[in-house]
Amino acid sequence: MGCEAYMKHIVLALLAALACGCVRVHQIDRETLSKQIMQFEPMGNRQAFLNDFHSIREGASGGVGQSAGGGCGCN
Amino acid sequence: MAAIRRFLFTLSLALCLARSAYAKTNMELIVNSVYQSGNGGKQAFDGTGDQALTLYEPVLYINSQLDHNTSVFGSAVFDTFTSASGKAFDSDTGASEAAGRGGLNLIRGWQTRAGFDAGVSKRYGGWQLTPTAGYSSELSYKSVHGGLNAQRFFAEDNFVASAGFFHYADEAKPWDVAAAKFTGFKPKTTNSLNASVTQILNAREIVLAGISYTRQGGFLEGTRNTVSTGTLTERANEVLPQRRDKFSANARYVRGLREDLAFHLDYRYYADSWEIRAHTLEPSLAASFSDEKGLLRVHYRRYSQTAAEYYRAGSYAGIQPVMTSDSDLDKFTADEGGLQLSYAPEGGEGDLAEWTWGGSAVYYKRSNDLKAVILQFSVAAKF
Repeated sequence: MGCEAYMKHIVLALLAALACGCVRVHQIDRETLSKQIMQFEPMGNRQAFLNDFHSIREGASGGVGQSAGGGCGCN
Repeated sequence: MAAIRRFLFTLSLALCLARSAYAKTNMELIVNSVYQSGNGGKQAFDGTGDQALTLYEPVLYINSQLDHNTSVFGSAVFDTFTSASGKAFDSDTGASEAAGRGGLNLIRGWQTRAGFDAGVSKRYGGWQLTPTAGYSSELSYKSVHGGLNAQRFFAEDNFVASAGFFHYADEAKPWDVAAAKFTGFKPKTTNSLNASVTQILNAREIVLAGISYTRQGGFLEGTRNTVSTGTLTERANEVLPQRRDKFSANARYVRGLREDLAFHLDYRYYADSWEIRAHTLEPSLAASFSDEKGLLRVHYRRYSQTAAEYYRAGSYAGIQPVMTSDSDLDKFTADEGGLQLSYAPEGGEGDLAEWTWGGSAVYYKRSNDLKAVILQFSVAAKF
């Protein structure tokens, strides 16, 4: 499957996910959503280092959630 | 080190001056360590393939909420690490152990890297702006970088759109294999644009979708990456194109299964102009315990990539216009699993801060003979 085909599937999946999301959740109903376990990166800064490690050791560095700069024993 | 001391002093001063009755400050010290091994490094300087690397990296994070709409944050880092291609460095030249045999003053030492990052985040009505800047320096690499991220909140924050631009003005100092010495610093620039949207689906589900485009130019080779040009002893520096365009798209989904348990699923697709295509899938579980004083995260990560079109594991027949044997650009899959834990014990009366302790253990294994154990220890204080 080519790059364009992958992108088409991703975009369609995202649009489908967002289309489902028209329900408005009021602040008072967000008790569960505000918990640390619901955060995209519940361990915060420790996960940032793992992202840096991946960006150094893998070809797919840079971009969303990835360090675009260098350093750190990357030779 | 002087730069870090100046940064910490300036940040402390700014925090003191800006401190008000509202101010809340979080400080976190994380000590990261990496123990990497493997013999699949075809780029290794000495032809052994040895990619052993040990890294210790203490990082100090500070975040202070100055008022309802404004926070300042920063981090300072000091890495110390061995070579990934020769186990030992010449402490003056950064050359690997094998290169030291030519009469260089070989000392079994460690390289270091120091850096800092800082930023401000301010909310104006439905907008939030976050400018950031940073600097890092090591023997063969320097980075000056900055960026701006803007967020727009809609529908009582149910829908958030975010866009950012980041610029890296880096410099790399390659080791010239033929001359057995460093050349001067060469420029490497990176410009990155990203955008994402976050949508609350219901009281227990949230989803994020993002895309990014990154353009790199200048010296994109590894500072010590080499290729074989005949026998194992005949090696030359790798040569890569001076431009690389990268595109990525990712999606993140979180669902609360119970009040104390959530399921996370992350996916990322990546494509670049060097013909690398990559997929990353990472399911994880996050659980709280002891009245939310403790937090546990268990994750598995599967990564796969195709090889860069310029990659070759074997020897090149003489110097080519483009050539690399960097195992990071090879075709491979990687599996990773890990456990992360944090716990905030109940504080006593009169305590100056709320403390949180944490630890992580992660195992990473690549199909082209590279593996690593990553250990993390953290302590955080909230004032």
